[in-house]
Amino acid sequence: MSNQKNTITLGKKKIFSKVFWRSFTLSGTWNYINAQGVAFLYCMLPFINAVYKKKEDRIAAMKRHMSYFNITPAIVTFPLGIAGSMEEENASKPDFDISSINAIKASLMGPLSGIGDSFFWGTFRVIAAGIGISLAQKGNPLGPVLFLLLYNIPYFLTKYFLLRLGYNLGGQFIKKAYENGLIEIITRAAGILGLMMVGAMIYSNVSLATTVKFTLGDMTFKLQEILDQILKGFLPLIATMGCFALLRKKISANKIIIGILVLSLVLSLFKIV
Amino acid sequence: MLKEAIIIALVMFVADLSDMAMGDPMLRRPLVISSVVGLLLGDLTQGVIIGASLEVIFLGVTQIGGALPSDTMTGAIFGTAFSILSGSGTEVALSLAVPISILAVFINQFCLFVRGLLLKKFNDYIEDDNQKGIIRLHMASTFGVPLVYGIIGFCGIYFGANAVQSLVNDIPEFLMDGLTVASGLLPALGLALLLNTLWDAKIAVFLLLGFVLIAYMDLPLIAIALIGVVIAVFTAVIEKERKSTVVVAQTNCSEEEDFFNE
Repeated sequence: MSNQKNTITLGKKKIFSKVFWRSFTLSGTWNYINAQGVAFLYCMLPFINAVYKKKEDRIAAMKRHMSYFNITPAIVTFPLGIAGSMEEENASKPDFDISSINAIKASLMGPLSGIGDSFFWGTFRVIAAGIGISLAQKGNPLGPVLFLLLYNIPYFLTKYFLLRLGYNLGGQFIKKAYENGLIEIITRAAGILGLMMVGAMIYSNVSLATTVKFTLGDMTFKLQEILDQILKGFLPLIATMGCFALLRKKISANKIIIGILVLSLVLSLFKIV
Repeated sequence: MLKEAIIIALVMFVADLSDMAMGDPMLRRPLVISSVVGLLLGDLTQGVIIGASLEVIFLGVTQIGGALPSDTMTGAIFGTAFSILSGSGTEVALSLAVPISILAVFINQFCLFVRGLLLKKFNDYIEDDNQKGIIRLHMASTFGVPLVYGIIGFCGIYFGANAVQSLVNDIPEFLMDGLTVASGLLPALGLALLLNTLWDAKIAVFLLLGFVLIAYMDLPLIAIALIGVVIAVFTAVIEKERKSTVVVAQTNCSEEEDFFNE
């Protein structure tokens, strides 16, 4: 089966580009019941129509792809490609196990979203936003432009090439990659990058400085200067790690927001900051 | 206010459509959408600056699985618009954007609920092999929800701008000072939220590396990102090699066992 697939014919190119553009409406029918299920079906229609000539077969395939599905939008083309190649296999082989199509889809969702989220949400977006923000803070409109470019170039390229990759690899590859720990390695590497960016952004974006002064004899000490000598950006770091500790204790972000507002009012009322 | 209300309605529509029909290319993130609002309402610089501060606060708010913990888009658009229209500063934008974003979650939940009701219709279309019907309804949903956001954008500005204006005029000084402090502190929560999604105790120490590189060496963020890429790629390569040797060693073992068993 895989030998024939490496040559993508002209007709298939058309199907691929249809599926690719359709995949942009992935959130268009997102709902609590089958999440991206309807959109996944919408994307699969070109494959389904190309493969099945009989009405009953098409209906059965459409029902299959209406089932619950939820994945990082950037990488949805990968399971689409895999599902497309499996539908094709199903049509040509009478003994094909139909349930394996949804089984592969369901088993891909979790690990693939893990990778997708850590790359696109945790890494590309954070790097792009960090760089964009550092320009935009000074009012430079290049900030948002750079943010869009840095995020979207890898995003579109990934989305485009994953469709073919998924189609060519079929269902087996990703199972293997998961079993031998490749996915875990990649996720962790992306995590390193994301954490470094967060560390840098704590210093450049959180601002908290104290104005407290005290006098010893005829010397005046500024508390902020002492703190700077211990560790630059000490207060922003403490503030962030404090919020993080509260989040880890399952205290909701909304409660923390209220806490921050109250704390800020108190601190400024007593002229501590 | 009619012109401004129409502008914001369009911004809301396009911003939400970018998520529904364009694969969410980050167009509706505060950094971008606040700048757009600033540009259209005649104060680009202020819009960009507000966008930067809001982006940090909302950096950790991710849309995992379609359900938003807070509607950053709506909060950012209204916060920026009200701040520019009332001629007030970034603090006002932030202190409006945060509560609005929390309240606006209900719009999203309502739309998701209504969509759930459409599923029966979709199933009927499937039974009839009516693909045109499927596509039509999918598109109606894809464009319909942004339309709801557009209407909310119009009403919010048309009926709310004057109220916000008088609120801003009457705000006491000590409250304003407090809000200024809060706008410096809120990013701490934003980054903490992000940290919560990235946290992995084994690699957490890299947080400190990023922090030190900027605090003491004053490196630009792009340089820190590239250093991060080097470390990430290097660790991935090393770990992959280590894993494959483990696998090889294991297979050798089993071969030996087989040998002894024979």
